[in-house]
Amino acid sequence: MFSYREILLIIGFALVFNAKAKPADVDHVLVVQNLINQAYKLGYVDAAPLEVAAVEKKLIQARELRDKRNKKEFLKLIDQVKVDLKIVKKRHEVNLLNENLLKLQEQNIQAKKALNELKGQL
Amino acid sequence: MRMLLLISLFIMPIAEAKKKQLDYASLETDYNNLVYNKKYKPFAKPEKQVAKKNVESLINKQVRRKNREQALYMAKHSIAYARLIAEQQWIQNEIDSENKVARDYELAISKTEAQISRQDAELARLMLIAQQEESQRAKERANQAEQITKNTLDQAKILKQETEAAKRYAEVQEEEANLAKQEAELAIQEVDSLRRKLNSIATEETDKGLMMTLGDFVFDSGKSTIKQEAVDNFSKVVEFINTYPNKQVQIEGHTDSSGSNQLNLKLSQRRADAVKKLLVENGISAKKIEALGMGEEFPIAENNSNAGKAKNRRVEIIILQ
Repeated sequence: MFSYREILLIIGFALVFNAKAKPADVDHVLVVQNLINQAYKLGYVDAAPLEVAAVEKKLIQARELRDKRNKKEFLKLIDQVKVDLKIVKKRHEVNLLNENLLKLQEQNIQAKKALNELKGQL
Repeated sequence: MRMLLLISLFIMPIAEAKKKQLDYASLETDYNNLVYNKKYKPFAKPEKQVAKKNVESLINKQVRRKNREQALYMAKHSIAYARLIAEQQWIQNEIDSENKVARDYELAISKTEAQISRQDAELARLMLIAQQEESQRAKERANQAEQITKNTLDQAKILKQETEAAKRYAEVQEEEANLAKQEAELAIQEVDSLRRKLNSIATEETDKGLMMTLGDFVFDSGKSTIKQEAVDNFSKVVEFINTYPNKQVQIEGHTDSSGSNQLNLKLSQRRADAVKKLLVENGISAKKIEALGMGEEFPIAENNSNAGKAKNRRVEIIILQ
């Protein structure tokens, strides 16, 4: 039906057009939702509950914008949510570190007390 | 109405510009507070650079008008994020310092515990030495007590021995006393016997005159000395002579036949002289006394028996007629 040359040409065109095909859209809402779920799961929310509430509100707005196909504003909001979550995560890490620091300081106070008591036995 | 609308059309952009200026000023202040905070100065340098870039691009209006609001949001968040990173690094730094302090404390505590252990060990060693010394002292005390007991027992033994010795000594003394007493009694008996003999000396008439014979009991055996007991009891003889104050007295000494004739002659003379001397000492004049040694020539009994010999050993005191 097709000659050998025609078949090669068809395959060539198919490859070229496939390579230039538009990449599949990332579901930013899903990505952000996963990030929020992770924040709940790992306990970040406790570090910044107000920010998380604001983020959830923004996510609702983002969904509305997506539904309205306002892609530009949608992406801006998604970017804001991402940096918000980044800060929430960092604040959680800082809080944990601070707790560790306080714990260490307390331990050192106790160690100093213990050392003084031991020295008293000499 | 149209005027108001017109005025508001003019005023709104101005108000919006004012708001942006305030936002930028606030952003800049926020950034400066972060950068010039001494506590955070050495930390979060890359994040500060990002924040700086974001702030400067906004202030220098390098961002498109329609993107400025988003850029302002991102700039604020970059400052907040840089602050959190700085805070995190500062806390980490503090944690490192506290960890170092904790290690120092741990080391110091270990050293101090080791010192205490050494001290306890030293104390235990000293206590052990003290216990050993105490034990030694107790042992020594026990030994001393044992020694004292032994000494006491020895002393008791010695005392017992001494008591026994004293008892024996007392017994010996008693025996000696008894012996002395017996000797004394014997001596008394002897003296009595001598006295009785002296008192019972009889006188007899002979051719030469009145004669009194003293047996050999008056003299110590083999000697010419008169026994003290005889001397003390010589009054009978003196009385006998004094009965005849105007008569001459002759004293004759005689022996048995034992020994040589010469020796017997000398012994008899010495015995006669001894009796003369005693009489003189008793107040009889020496002029009226003559002492003669007759030897063994005039026996009055046989010399072949002890009894005969005893009779022959005599001194005869004769009151001459």
